Amino acid sequence: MAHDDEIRSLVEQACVDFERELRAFLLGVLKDGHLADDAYQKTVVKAIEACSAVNQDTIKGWLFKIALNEAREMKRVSKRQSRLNQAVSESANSFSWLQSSESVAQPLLAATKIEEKAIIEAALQRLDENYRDVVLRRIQKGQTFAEIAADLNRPLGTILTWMRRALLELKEMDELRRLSDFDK
Amino acid sequence: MNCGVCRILTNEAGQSESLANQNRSQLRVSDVNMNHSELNTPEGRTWLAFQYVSGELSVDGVEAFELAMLADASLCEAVAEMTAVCSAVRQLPANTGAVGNNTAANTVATATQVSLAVVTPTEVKARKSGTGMMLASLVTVVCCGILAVVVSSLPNSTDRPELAVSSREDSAVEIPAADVVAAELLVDVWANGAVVVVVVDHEFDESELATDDLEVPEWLLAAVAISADEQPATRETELF
Repeated sequence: MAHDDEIRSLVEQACVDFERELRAFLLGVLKDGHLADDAYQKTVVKAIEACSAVNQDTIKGWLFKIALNEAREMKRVSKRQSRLNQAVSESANSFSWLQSSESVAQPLLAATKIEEKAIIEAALQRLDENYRDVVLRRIQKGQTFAEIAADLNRPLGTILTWMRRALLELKEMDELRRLSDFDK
Repeated sequence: MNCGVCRILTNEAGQSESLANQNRSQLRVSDVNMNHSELNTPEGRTWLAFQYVSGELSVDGVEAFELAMLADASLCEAVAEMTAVCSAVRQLPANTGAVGNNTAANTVATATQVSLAVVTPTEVKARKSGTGMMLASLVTVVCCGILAVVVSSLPNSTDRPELAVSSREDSAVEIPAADVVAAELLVDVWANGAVVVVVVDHEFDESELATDDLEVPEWLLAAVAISADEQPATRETELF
């Protein structure tokens, strides 16, 4: 009994420690902030319910798997809801506001902290100018790589290579690593 | 890694290549070759995570990647990282980075223009005032030169005695006769012996007035005798 309480508190603490990463992951999967919030809450509940099965050494990966399963389930529900709404919309030619496509198309994480933005901006400034240009054009402006290649008068392969290298450099930068550790 | 997942990704890559040949202008990331090795390298994982987050994968590709995530939690972490990066980049000001540099350059250029616009009148004024100063200095120098030339060309009275005599004669003509007599008298007195009346603060000493070797005119002695007989008015009496 005491062991169960210990495991439970461990899982609860892990949910708090990895909250930021879990939320970001769920947002990446669901691409909707509200759905991601719901999915995170469900993930925490599921994790606490199944805490007896956890391995302390792999608790982070275990939480990610629970989160992914929850997100996939929500996507399925959302997809069904979307089809239903589409059918209703086609029949009644109204209720377009019910469609979830808008929420799916919402921008990613809108609640990034100011200091996080500053850190990422600083990291961007450290990138090679070409890499940074491609990253901003693709992510911020929403240009396709073909459009970027046309704009910069470069081969598509070059643009893709720059983007891959830029992402890898960003991922490896100390600033972003500290950012990941910041909320732990 | 699940070989089924790899097959799906590889098939998608093949379809993408054919699509790329058909319409290259509409290429997306999912059109890029995505093979088995992508999932085995950190770069490939990061790249696939970015494709997944940015919605570049096809439906089959998404399904395959999610299955891969269920088998490998590091892919989930990569997705979380890419989500954070993409969301932060999206929220950055639009003029960040390369565009920001251009904007900064434009701003600097604009500021330079503005500062030039502000500074130019001052500079013009300074130039004008500088030109005026130079002109004034030049005029001053020229005037001084002209003045020096004029002064040097003027006749000197010592060099031309006739002019001096002439002026002296002219002035003598104007002097009345009585004054001339008085003047001659004074000249004689001074020539015979100077009598200087000096007002001094110390006590009067009569020995200082010893005039044995001087020939004093009678009128002067008479005047002195009269003054001695009378009580001279004190300074206080004169004042009150």
